[in-house]
Amino acid sequence: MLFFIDLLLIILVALPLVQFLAPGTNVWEKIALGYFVGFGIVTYGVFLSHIWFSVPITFGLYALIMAVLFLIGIWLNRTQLLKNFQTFKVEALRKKFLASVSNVNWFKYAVIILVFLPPLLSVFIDSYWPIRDWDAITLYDFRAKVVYITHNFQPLIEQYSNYYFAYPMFTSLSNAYFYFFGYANPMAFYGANFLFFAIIFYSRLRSKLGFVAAAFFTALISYTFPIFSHSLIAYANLPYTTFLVAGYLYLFTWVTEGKSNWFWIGCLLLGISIWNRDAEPFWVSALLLVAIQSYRLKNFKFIGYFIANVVFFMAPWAWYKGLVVPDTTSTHALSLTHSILTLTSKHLVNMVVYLFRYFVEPYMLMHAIFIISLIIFIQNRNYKAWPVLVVIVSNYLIVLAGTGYLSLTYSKWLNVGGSLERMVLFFIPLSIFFAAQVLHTRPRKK
Amino acid sequence: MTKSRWLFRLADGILPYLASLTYFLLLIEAVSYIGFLHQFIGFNSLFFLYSNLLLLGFLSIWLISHPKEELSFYTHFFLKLQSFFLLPLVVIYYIFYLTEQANYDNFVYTTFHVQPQNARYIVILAFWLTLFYLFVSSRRILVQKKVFKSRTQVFNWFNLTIVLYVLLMAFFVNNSINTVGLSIENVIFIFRNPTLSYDRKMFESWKYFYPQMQFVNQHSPETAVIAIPPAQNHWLTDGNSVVVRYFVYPRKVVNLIESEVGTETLYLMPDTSYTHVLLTKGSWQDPTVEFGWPKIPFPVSKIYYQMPDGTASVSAVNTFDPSLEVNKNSYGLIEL
Repeated sequence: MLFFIDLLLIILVALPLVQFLAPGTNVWEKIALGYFVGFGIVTYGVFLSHIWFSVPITFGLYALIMAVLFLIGIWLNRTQLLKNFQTFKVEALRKKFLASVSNVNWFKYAVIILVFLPPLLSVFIDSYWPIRDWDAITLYDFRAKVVYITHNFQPLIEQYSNYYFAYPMFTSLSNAYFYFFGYANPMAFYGANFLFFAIIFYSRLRSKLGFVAAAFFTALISYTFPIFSHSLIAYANLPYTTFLVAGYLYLFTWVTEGKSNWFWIGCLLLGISIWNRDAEPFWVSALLLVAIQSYRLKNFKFIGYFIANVVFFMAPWAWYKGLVVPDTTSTHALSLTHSILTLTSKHLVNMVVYLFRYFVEPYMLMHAIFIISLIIFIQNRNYKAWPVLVVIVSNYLIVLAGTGYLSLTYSKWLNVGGSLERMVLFFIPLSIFFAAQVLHTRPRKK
Repeated sequence: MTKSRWLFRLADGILPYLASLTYFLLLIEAVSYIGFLHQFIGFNSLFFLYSNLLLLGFLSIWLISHPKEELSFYTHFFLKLQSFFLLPLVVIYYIFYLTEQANYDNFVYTTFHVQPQNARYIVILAFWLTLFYLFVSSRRILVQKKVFKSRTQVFNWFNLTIVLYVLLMAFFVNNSINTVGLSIENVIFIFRNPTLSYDRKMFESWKYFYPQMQFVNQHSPETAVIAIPPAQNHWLTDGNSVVVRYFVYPRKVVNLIESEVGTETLYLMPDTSYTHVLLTKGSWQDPTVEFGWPKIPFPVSKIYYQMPDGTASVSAVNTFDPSLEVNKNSYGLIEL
């Protein structure tokens, strides 16, 4: 119960900012965005306050950052809020509520419940279990508990710092939030992450498609087994996937609708994905999209804003990590130059096999869906879904280049295939979104 | 008649018989095992399943490239008839699958003599035959309802769209089986054990290791520094310093880096100071080294042996002797 109160609290404090950034969205999408924006900004604010101003990480610091976030949101919305306050009438609200209750479409509600059943079950199941999976307890939740007990990162710096600072602190500080606010079990944070992502996915589809189509394609995401199973473990992979894809979705909306508020919210979510896992370079495909759209609009300031956003979320962590981790060179590191010069055909074959085993084979149907969608996209000659295509294709190239780089610079690269399989989870919602757009685009007449 | 059209007519004629035979053979191997038929006919049922899928693929390509061609009445009738069985088959398969999840592996085979993992191939065959039927009949319906002017126009429009919807449905079916199965498994566990304690829940995940770490916490102060084995051989979990640290924090943990070859590190103790030593038999299997760590003698003040019920049996000896059987096969904590 305490978990849900804590969750609601952080959503509420973020709502004013969400209202400013995404005014045209429905209430459910706003709540989902409140979750994403709330946890992202609050945890990052706590982190920056601690590393720059040496403020101990306590309940008070979380409360202060939340209060600041809330007040900033109120201040940004002050004109609209004042207007609403002046025109507020209880009777009008009562009539609106009664009208919504009397016009219930039970079929639609039944479909919605079925579509969102796996994420809801995920929250239910997560509420029961404590955090118990390997990386969750050794890294993410351990960091959270250290922060809760000592109010700083000192025990993490003293021992095994290269392990504890391998990834940024988003999930750990999110877990710590629940510990500070009544020592609630944070496990359901990951189920909630899945649920709110599904809501955003549905809302972005619904803005362009009919109810049945949006429900169908959202169900494909809700019932996707790799995503569902990740929502039952407290790893950073699913939050990374959801923040990244949500960021992409809002950038797609910016490209198609042209309103800059979508750009800002897409940027913010992509930045928070970097705060989640900074080593993954998939923000580069979003930068490419922003660059292309900036060229089309003949307004290049968006590129500058995007890069500044990436730097804002990446640099402080990189700086702090460099400070506290004495030697970040892995014992298994190889010289890139030497590796390129001694490249053999066997190495290339190993790379192909590695990519097939951990990237192609586990997601065979997804790749087939993308390829067929691409052929239809080309056949239709109606290229409205081009932003999605740019992002997917560039991410395929990043995976290829990244695997090549890893194989040439890390001697144990063949042992980390599982990481690749988890890292590319985001291709699933992107491919489904692309298929949805392609199927609902009319072919251009000859 | 051209050669390719002759092939089409042959495939069209064979399809109902091959599909019927495949259903029969899949049923035999669903109540026995995949490979049962191999001893009699040299092939198992999956060979026939893949043959059907290849045949459907050939017919699909032919019909796409020859929009005016039709399947024979008998084949059409067979496909329509078998499509009525798809939904009942899916329901039956789901019931078998969920029944297995709710009980134990092989429960369905033990009770009903049906292997769910083999029975799914019957569902797969029905699924693809039904989709093929929908693909073929959509041409007629759309032309009859004057949605499209001709079958050629239908094919120009729907070819890859149908393929994409088929793939999306296959994606959904493939994933939802596992998602629903995992959900049911968890929900049933929760409803059977609604008031399980935190300790019991952690025991479900970590088995013996969790009570072992709780024992360490109960018999050492929070300022203790505990030496653990290197993470190798039998001690891949007990020697994993970040795992142990999570469970015993704020106590500190020290150990040596594991050796990737040989076992000499097992006979060394950490060179930093420590107040306690983990006594652990080990759990991972490795025939190259005996159970039991530490492996060298050293002066001690007490040894807390962990009993099966979680209580401690205290031994006040002066020296730890690794050659004793009790020290090789026990879990506990050594106080220096």
